[in-house]
Amino acid sequence: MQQITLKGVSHTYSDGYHETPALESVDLTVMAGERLAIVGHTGSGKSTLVQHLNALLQPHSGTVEAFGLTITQDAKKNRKLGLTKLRQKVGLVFQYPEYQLFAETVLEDIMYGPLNFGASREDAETKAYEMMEVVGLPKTLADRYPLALSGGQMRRVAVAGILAMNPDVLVLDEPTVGLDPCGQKEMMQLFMELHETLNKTLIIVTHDMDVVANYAQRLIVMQSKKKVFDGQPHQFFQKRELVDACKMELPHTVELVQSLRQQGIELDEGILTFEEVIAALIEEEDAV
Amino acid sequence: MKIAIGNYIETESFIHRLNPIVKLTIFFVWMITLFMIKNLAIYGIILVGILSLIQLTRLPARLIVSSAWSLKWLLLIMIVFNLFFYKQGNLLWEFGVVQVYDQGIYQVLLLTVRLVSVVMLATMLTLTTKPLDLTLALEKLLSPFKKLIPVADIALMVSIAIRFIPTLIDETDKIMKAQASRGANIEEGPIIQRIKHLVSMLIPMFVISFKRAENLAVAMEARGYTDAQSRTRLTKLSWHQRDTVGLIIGISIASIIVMIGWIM
Ligand SMILES: Nc1ncnc2c1ncn2[C@@H]1O[C@H](COP(=O)(O)OP(=O)(O)OP(=O)(O)O)[C@@H](O)[C@H]1O
Ligand SMILES: [Mg+2]
Repeated sequence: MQQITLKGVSHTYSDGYHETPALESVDLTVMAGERLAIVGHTGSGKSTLVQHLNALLQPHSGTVEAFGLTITQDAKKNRKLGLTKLRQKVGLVFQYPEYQLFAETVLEDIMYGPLNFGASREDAETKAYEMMEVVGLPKTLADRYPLALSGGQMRRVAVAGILAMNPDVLVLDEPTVGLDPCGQKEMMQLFMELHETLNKTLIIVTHDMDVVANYAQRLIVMQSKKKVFDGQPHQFFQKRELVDACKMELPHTVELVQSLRQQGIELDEGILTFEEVIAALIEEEDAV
Repeated sequence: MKIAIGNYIETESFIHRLNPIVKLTIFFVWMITLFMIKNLAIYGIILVGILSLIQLTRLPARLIVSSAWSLKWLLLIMIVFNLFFYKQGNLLWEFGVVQVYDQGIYQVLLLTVRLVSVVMLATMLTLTTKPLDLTLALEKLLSPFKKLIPVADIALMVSIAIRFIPTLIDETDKIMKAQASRGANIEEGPIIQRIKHLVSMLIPMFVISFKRAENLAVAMEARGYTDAQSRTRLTKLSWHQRDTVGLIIGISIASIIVMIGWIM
């Protein structure tokens, strides 16, 4: 089922003097329950793109259709649509958690979203405690001042604050930047769990190709304001020229498989994770 | 639309090339002039003058006019206050608690034109002068007071403050988006709700500004900054004939306006 559809969306930032085009006629269909990764060189328009998904930005041409709303370039009409509803359905976690945290306590901060969307205080509080557990924050932190937490903890509070709104679609703009490797893995595991158990649509903006290899079902590649690839990750990695043109790197596993293939070891080009590499190598050995 | 104050935009106009000391001097003199004038008709002439000056800078007029437009809320609050509390002059209308006096209207208009003029002039000054040149000019102009106050440090502080206005506006934009993502809406709903949402935006703003200030201080010290007094300059400001001409014209305009004010 189609959940969000972008048709020919363009967006240009303007400060009254300089015009910076950031998106040029991008078409994108997000299917319910899929796991989508968006990659691209810095400044290619990824953040601009995802902010259209919950109407924080509105297209300057083209349309965004989501949850029964059609958002056009007509700002006056858009305002009448009730965009707040859409923001509850599409939860967006920004890259820098300190932009979201403001309340006196961690608990209050996580409750902010649900309260805005009409939950009672008790419900919001229950939800907040629940989400703290989900993101792996100990209960003892509930009364702490959020801005006095470590970077990783702040990130978790920010994610919990969005999860507490119970969105259908979870959009994460570079969710693992600045976390230690262990925290990165935990975070990604958490998103996978949410995806699998609650069937949430997951959209992850990332620079980390290993994240793409391990977690994405579908890959979108942005390159100077345009969508240049939309398909399965392994298909993209096989297009050497496109990968280079987009200034992207290959995941470690793909590089490994490619050098093994050069050594004459016959491995499937579609292999993406270390588990798959190992399984294929064992199979290869058995065959010999 | 963003507020242009604090940005520098190069258009190679005559105004851009003027010595920053001249521009700053004229700016101060005109500010004083603005607060000496109490006649609204003269403000008509002044506004026309400012608009012609914008032409001279070759900057898009809407950029400067929009910086004045950003004062709309401040002006609205002022108007409301005046309508409720200003009780001098002749009573014009009365609706319940609201009493409108002619003096009240005059005060509102006067403050509006003054604020609008000052903001447009300040925007033009920063749009046509590089922040570093502005610091240098401020330092030179304040140099007679060197013995009394740390002039160079103050000049540097002012220019850093101006430099960070656009950055702060960008940050505000980001915070507003982040809170809007969680259902905050300062454009709709009951007033208490909207104030709450506004607070949710102000707190991260302050936190981020303090963090930024701290980082900047550390970065400056790491690169050997001790105080501004003992710093030397890479470039020197030079004085050309056009600067003399500009200064004379600028001050003459101010004197003429003050004289018209006396006569009328
Ligand atoms: N608020 C803004 N005002 C003006 N220009 C902007 C703004 N935000 C982004 N841009 C510009 O739009 C273009 C696309 O930016 P965007 O943030 O979407 O890129 P990105 O792919 O997310 O990059 P990164 O990987 O660095 O986060 C860039 O050229 C950027 O400079
Ligand atoms: Mg980005």
